[in-house]
Amino acid sequence: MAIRNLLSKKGLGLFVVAGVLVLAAAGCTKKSDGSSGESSGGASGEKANGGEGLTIGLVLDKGGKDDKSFNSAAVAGATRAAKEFGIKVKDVESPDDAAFEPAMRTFAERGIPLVLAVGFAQADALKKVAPSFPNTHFAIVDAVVDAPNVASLMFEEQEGSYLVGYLAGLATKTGKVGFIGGMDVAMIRRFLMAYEAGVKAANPKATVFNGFVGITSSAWANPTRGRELALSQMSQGADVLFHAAGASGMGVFDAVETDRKKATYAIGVDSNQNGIKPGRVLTSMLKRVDNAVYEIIKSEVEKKFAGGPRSFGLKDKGIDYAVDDHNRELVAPYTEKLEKVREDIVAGKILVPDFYKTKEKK
Amino acid sequence: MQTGRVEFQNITRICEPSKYRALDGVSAKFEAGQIHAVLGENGAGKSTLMKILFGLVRPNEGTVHVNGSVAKFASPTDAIRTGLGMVQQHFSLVETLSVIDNIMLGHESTLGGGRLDRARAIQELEEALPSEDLRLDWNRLVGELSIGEQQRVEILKLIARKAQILVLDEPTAVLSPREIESLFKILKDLKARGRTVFVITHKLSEVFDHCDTWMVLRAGKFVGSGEIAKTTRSEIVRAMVGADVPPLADRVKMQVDLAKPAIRVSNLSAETSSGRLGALKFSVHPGEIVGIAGVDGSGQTELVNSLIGIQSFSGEVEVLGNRVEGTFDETQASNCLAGLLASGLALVSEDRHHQGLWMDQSVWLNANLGYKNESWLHLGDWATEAERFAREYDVRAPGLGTEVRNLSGGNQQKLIFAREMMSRPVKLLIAHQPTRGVDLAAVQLIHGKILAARAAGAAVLVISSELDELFALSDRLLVMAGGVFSGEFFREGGDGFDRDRVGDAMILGKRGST
Amino acid sequence: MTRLVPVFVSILIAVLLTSILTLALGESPLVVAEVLLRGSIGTPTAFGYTLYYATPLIFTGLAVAWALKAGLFNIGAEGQMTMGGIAMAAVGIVLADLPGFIAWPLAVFAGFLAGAFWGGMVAWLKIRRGVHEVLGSILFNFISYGIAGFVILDLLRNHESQNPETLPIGQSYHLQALSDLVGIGGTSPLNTAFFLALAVALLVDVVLQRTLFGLRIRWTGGAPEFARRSGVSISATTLKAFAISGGIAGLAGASAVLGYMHKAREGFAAGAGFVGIAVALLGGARAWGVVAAAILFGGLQKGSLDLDLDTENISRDLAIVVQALIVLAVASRGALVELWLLLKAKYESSKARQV
Repeated sequence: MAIRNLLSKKGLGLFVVAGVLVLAAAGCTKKSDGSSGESSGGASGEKANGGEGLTIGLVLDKGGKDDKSFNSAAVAGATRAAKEFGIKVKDVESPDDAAFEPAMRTFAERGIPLVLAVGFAQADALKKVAPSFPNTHFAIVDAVVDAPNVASLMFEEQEGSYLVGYLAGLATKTGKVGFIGGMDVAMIRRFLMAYEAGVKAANPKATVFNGFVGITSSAWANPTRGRELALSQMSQGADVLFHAAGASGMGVFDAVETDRKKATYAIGVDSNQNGIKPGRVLTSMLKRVDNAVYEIIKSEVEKKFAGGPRSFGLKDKGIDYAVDDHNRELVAPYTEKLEKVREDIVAGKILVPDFYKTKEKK
Repeated sequence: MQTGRVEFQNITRICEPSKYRALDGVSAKFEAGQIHAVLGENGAGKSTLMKILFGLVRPNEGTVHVNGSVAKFASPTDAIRTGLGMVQQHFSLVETLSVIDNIMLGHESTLGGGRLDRARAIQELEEALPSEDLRLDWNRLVGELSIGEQQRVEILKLIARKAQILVLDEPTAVLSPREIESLFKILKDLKARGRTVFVITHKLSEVFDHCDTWMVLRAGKFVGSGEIAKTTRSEIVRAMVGADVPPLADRVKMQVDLAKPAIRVSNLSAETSSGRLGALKFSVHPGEIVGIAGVDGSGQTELVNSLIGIQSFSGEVEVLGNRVEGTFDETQASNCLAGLLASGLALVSEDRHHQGLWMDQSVWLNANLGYKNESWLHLGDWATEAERFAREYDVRAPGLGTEVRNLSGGNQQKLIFAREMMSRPVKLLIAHQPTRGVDLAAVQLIHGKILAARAAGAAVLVISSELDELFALSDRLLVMAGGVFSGEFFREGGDGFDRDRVGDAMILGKRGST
Repeated sequence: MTRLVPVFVSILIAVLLTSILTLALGESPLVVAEVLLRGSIGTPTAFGYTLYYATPLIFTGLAVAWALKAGLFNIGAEGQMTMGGIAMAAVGIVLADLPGFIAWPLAVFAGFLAGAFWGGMVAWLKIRRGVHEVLGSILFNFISYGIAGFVILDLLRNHESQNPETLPIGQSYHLQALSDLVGIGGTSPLNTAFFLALAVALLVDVVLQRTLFGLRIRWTGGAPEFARRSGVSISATTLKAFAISGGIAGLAGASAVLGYMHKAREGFAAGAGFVGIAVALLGGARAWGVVAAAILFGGLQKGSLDLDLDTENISRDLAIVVQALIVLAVASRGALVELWLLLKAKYESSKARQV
């Protein structure tokens, strides 16, 4: 009876009101976060009218600038450039797919010379916008948009994945290693394929388990599932686990920590995650979105901007693996071999398999 | 010690936001140690006046004097402390607690450690007990008691709080005749012990049999008061309705056609969460009014719902030549009911606010709901139709666009009757509580229309808990108790309608000893 | 007209509260207002975006309002919209070569049917198994996300794209952008789905107010016991009402799927089903009120994008706060009226005492 009353219309009204309250509260707190982030981001006060100083526009993906990964890295790179070159950076977060386009247009209409689109989701929008503003420079991260005024910033994720795979192959005691992907998309398959190749190169007999958190974008934010996958691979004997799963990867670190014998290690991704569980993270495969963003802003400042695809890999440290105080001793025994492999990849002596290219052949 | 004198001086209460004057300069004086009847139609302001006495509502103007001094109660608690107590229409009892616990609730006497001192509470109560009829098994759960017994618990609560002035709001509405007798005996015992009793009611017979004084309010204004002994019935009726009540139309002699009953029921049994019906058998014929008497909750609702096919049952029911199935299939049941309505059933349901009207909508929409079958609504015609209904049934509304929620109970009920009786040729009228809570003028009009329908050859089934109403209307009276018929009485032939014997039948089934 | 007053007062109160919030964050409310206005109606493109954002909200708002009229609370518009959008995309991909005059109407019809089916299931569970429609529709939202994931990421997936999206729909299914068609909306993706939304609003209004069917739906919502005792089948009406509510919500994806992206991308509903509840409440569950409320919310959504750009301390999340405050103010308007009367009575009695 009580439940019935609760679900009566009056009760529902209360629910709605309560829900809205929560929403409002969430909105408020998020906002104050955002504001503090922006002020420390170094973008100074005036309106972005492209006056004396150069202003760069940044269109962020739905995750927003506080996602501690992709968008954060882009903002960090832009901020570094802003400080160094004395320019301004304005950023816009897009709440939905339809908002990319107006954000880009607004920047372009206000005479901002370089607009950066962060994330492959913006490719469609940029395809439409770029031709309308031939005098504005655009850059996009992780996607190729074919237009003379667009620079496409691509990363050779497979090189880094191969390298950390090689390290995993060397470090495993059980001969079994694992891979936990976030959303099952081509890019993560690219990680997996190269990782497997790297493991086999170091240890031809090794077994590689793999698992994906899911097929929707919520797969990037499900640490519980990430932990489950990791524990299951550990129970089958895997003692090195590489994740490319965004926030779901946090569950992988948690899982590794449950090993009392401290004989299981995780490998982080994108940014330096060595410090998350010090001593239990073998290394992190770095994808330096910040460097790429910095580089492209630098080229704009130096009036050397050029359209077309630009790839970042081991060669220019756009892709790297992290060594710091947390893992220096862990990787020390393998450093020599790893550096050799890195040189071979850069020199083209090792051909790392690329999921994108194998697919084209199919 | 002279306590219990009450005087109202120029009480005015204005309701927001409508500015409606619920009470308008009411002044009246009541002596201690008597039973006072506060009379008036619904909405006349009786309850509001008593609530002001009790501190539940504050007047905009005027003062209340108790025992000669101005009483300004901030809250009911205040009023209780001064010796006032009120029994509301809806009891405030905890069904899962015992009688004595309910009585103690709110002013518990305790032993050490917070344990309830029930023995002391019972002792105190027994000492103060003003009437042996109030005695109950103190340890029974309130939920197990009958309505009449629960009412006694409410009175006991006031006794325990040493109330000198007791107000009872419509205390007899839910009681059987026997229980009503017993209630007034208790009230007389209270009077004998020097207590002052106010009874809010609109039932004249009770007033004449048991009360000492009367006061009538009409539309918020004081109309008159006096001693019962010095007043005639028609004086009070005139005071209540403001004019002489038109006499009922003469009862025409009808030739009842027994061959074609409008309702034929045999072996009707049903089991619902609210009650059960046991193997009912009866019929209603064109040209006769059959009344069904009984205390509320004796199976009347289940019977009506079975007749119109909206609940499941077993047995045979035939209404206006249509077989009614006791089906679980709601769509099938709706189709069946729609068929009954189309073949000449007029239905006036028990609860007009929920079952007979759409309260948020206008008079004209309500007048047209239910029987219009046009896919594209011709709203212009609807207004004309509504106007016709309102004229014929004297539905008083500021305008046809008025929301029915703003009409008085009487006008609401008249609107329902108008719609049901005028929108189609009526062969059968089922009227459940046709005049509950309705003003006298409306009662007269409705009764007249029911008799007119009979005269026109319709069959009529009236279900009511008001014996006066049934005696006035019925050709034949069936008494329901505990889901079965416990008696049948005829206006002509046999013993006629005998109040005591009908009352006995109403009680009989209730105790379950058929 | 008088029934609109409390709504306007509510909006005013929301604006007032927002201004205080804005001041507390160190920005001028006037600047914020200017940014919001310019961003939402300042240019043809901006206004086009406002209407583009309003389009799905009109559909979902109408869906929720329609159900409310029948006394039902449809909080499954998000799921129904998702199913509808998927169905439109599926028709557009599988039958890509149909000629134009039949193609998009077919897709729209498929969207309606899919949404209606989804809503009808909820109603069926309510009628047959007594599952409350709130519970049912929430659960069906989750199921729809699963189905959408399967269709978008598996069955009809575009493997060429990094995005979680389907293959493109056939050319003949594209709803025309209004900029191409009649030259309004600047460079915004505003398309003919907006007119479809207005047409549905008109239809909803007429059906509810002027037909027996609509009357019966309102009747079952307003006085169910009375309706039942007049031979109206509550369960049949519930089923029809909820299915149609679902169908209307199923059309909400048309603007994005057929009119802009020309494919279904994961999460294309983007919460429009839930915002639709607020829109319906604000619109007083009347068709034209819903349209007005949807445009207001669409304007806030679009205008707030520029807040990131043009103010230092305020981000686009302000729009959510404003929307929430408006709904709160509308929801509590009964309490506001009472408060007002109480204060007035107090004031008058104190004045009377002084005299």
